[in-house]
Amino acid sequence: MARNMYFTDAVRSEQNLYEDIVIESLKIYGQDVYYLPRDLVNEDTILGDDVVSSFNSAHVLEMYIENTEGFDGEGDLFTRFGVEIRDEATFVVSRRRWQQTVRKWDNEVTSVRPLEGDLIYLPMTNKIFQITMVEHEQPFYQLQNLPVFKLRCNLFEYNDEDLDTGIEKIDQVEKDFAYTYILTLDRTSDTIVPGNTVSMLLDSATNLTMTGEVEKWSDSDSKLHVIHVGANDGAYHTFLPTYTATITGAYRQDSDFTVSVVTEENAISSNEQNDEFSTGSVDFLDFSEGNPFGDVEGQ
Amino acid sequence: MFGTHFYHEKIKKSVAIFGRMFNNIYVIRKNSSSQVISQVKVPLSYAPKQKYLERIREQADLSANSQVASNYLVCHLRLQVLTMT
Repeated sequence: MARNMYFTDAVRSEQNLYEDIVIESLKIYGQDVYYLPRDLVNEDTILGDDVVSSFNSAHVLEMYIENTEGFDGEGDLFTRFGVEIRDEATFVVSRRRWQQTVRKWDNEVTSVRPLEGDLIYLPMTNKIFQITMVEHEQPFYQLQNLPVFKLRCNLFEYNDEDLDTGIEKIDQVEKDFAYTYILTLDRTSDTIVPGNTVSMLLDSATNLTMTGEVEKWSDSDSKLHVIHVGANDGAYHTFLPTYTATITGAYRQDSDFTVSVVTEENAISSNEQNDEFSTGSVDFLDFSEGNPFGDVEGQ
Repeated sequence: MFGTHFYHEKIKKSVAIFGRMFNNIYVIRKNSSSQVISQVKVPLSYAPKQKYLERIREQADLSANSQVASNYLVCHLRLQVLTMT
């Protein structure tokens, strides 16, 4: 027997009312979060990854957190690689609100749905999550429509990505955890600001230039913290003492500085022992000699 | 037979020397123009260590340090076999 044709649950006005009520509920019981679309910088089509993604926009959006008694996942684990935090969370977001808030205003977003790999910053806990799966059929066609997405997320594993969203709390992650080169300059300056670009010409014949982004400037000791560093020839190089560092960008007046000392800081790895291994093996082996195992540090 | 106390830090120094050989590895990442936009020295550490030390070092401030997961690219070593001939 066919279905009764006088009753239907696919009435457009009822569907809209249902969606409005869902949105209102999310606005009442949800949290304001920031949605960060991922920009693929250099996708590897063979290995299928993009190790240098960047995030340059953040959109405030209300989402409901399904977890009521804490985050899911395995929590904090001790492994041979240190403490691994494996928090998981599920966020519920209205389809219409996501379209209105993210897709409409971000011309870099071409997808019609949230994408796996995008980030969600939850100010309540000050944590950044990465979307691992977008569930689009829950609740299941109650009025023959699908008003929400469920975003299943893991805690974001920061890996030197570029975060320039303009939201201070989010961009702070980059300042706290990005691999940093610290250049000691020959004089102080009050016009160096984060976001400026540092460049150093290493070889004028080949135009070999190192560049990086100013993360912090310490006026008291003339130390310039530089992140996202690299050379234009595609090989490893580093900033060199006695060379000139040119700083460009906003509020610039004095541009050229002489670098006296270059050091490096890996802030995210609090348990690294690279320096300890160096000092612990001093006077035991002469590493200035060529060695058959590879290119160890020259000292 | 072996006399009294002796300690020459042989194992400790062996770990340090072995670690030092892998002490200066960098991972570089390039953009689509083949220019380097990130270069990171791979952190290296000896894997077996006291868990409480690990915990307080990695998460001295519980609220701040757990903002992101700390599964950074990392290299660990451990001494597994010690033979005497």
